[in-house]
Amino acid sequence: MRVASREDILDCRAVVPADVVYREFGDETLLLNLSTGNYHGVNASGARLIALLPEADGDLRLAVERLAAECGVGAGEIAEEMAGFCVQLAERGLLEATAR
Amino acid sequence: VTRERAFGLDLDARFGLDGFAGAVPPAGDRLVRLRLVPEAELRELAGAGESERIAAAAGADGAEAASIDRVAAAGGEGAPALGYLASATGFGRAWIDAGGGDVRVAAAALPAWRWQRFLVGQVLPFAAVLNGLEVFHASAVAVEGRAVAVVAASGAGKTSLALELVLLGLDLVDDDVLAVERAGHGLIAHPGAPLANVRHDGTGLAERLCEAGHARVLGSADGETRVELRPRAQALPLSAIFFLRRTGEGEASATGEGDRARIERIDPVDPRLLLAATFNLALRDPGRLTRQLDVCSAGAGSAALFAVDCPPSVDAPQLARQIRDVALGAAGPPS
Repeated sequence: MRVASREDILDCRAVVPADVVYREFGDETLLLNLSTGNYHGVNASGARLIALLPEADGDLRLAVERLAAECGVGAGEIAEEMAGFCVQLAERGLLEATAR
Repeated sequence: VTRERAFGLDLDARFGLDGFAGAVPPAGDRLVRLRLVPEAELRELAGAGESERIAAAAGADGAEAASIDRVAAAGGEGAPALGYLASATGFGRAWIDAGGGDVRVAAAALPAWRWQRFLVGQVLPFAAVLNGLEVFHASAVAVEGRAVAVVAASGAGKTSLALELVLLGLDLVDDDVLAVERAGHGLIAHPGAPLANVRHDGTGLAERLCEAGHARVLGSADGETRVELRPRAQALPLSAIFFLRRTGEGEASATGEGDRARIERIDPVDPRLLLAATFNLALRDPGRLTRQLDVCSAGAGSAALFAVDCPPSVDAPQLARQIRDVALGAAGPPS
C-alpha cells in the first residue's frame, strides 16, 4: 500500500492499526507492531497526537489543530513536523492513512 | 504428589521438589502438573508436529548448552503450537504444553537438587509466561512488605547481592527469575523457589548464610553451592527495581566514588531497560508481546527505578547496605 507523502498526509483519515498497541513509559510512549515485533518510541507530543486521533474521528488535520491548541501554538507552526512524524509512523506500519 | 507454589503457579508434582519446603501454600490458580517421564515420551510428543528452534544459548566452551524448540501442528507458518521442548545439556529435557499446564521432564541421572536447577531456572519460568505471567531476569528481596528487585547481566552479582541482603535481615523473594503480573496500576511480584546458587568466590557466602540460620546446603557442584532459604509465603507489590552495572576501574575513578556505588533514580524512564530485563525473549506471539509491554509500562509507572554503577572496589556486603538503605527509602510505609 502506498504511504501518503508529507504534503498530503494531513488530508488523510488515519487510524492506529489493530495490530499496534501502545503504552506510556513516563514521558515516552512505546508503540509495538505485533505483526513484526518492532517497537517505536514517540515523545509526549507524538503520543498526544495519536491519542487525539479517535476524538478527531481519524481526521489528522483536525487532530493536529487540537494538539496545537493544547500547546498554545498555531497549527501552521507544527503541521510540517507532525506531517513528517505521521509519514514515519505510516512507513513503519504504525499508522494507516487513507485518503478522505 | 507434592503441592507447592512458586512463580505464581500452583505446582502439582509427581516427584519431590528439592528445597521447596512446602511453606508456600497453593493458591488455587494456574495449576501446573509436573511429571517425570522417559526420554522416549518427549521424542514422541515432539515428533507429533513440526519443530522450530526459537531460542538457543551457548556455554562457556561455545557448544550449545540450552535450547527451546516450538512444536506446532503440521500446516506451516501460523500453525498453533502444541508445546515447547526445552533442553539443557547435562540436566535433561522438558516438554511444556502450549497452555503451560502440563510439564513433563526427562531428567538426567543426577541428584534431584542438581537437575531441578533446570526445572526451576528455565522450565517453570517458561511455564509462567505461558500461564499469563511476565518474568524478569532479576533477583528480589522483601523490604517493608514490598518486593525490591535487582536486575543485572548474568555473572554481575545479582545472587550475591540478594543473599547479602538476606544476611541483613531481608527475606529472599526469588533468585534470578522474578515472576510478576499486573495488578491495578502496579505490579505484583510472586515468590520463586526459595533456592539459590552460590558461587565459590572466596567470600564464604554460603557458609555465612548457614551459620546465620538463613539457609541450608542442598549440595555443591561445578563451583557452586545450591542452598535452600526461608520461603516467602505471599506475593508482594513491586516497589523498586535496581539496575546493577559493574563499572571498570577507569569508570570508577571517573565517578569520583571509588569506595561507594553510585545509585541514581532513573528519570525519565528508558523503556528499553525494562523490556530488556524480561527473561523470556523466545515467546513473541501478540498476546505475550502485549502483556510484556503492559507489564513494563506498569513497572515504569509504579516502581522506583534506580541505576547502580558499582566499581570493583565495592564488595557485595557494602553494596547490599547501600541498596538496602535506598530501598527502605523507596518502599514507603510498610505494606
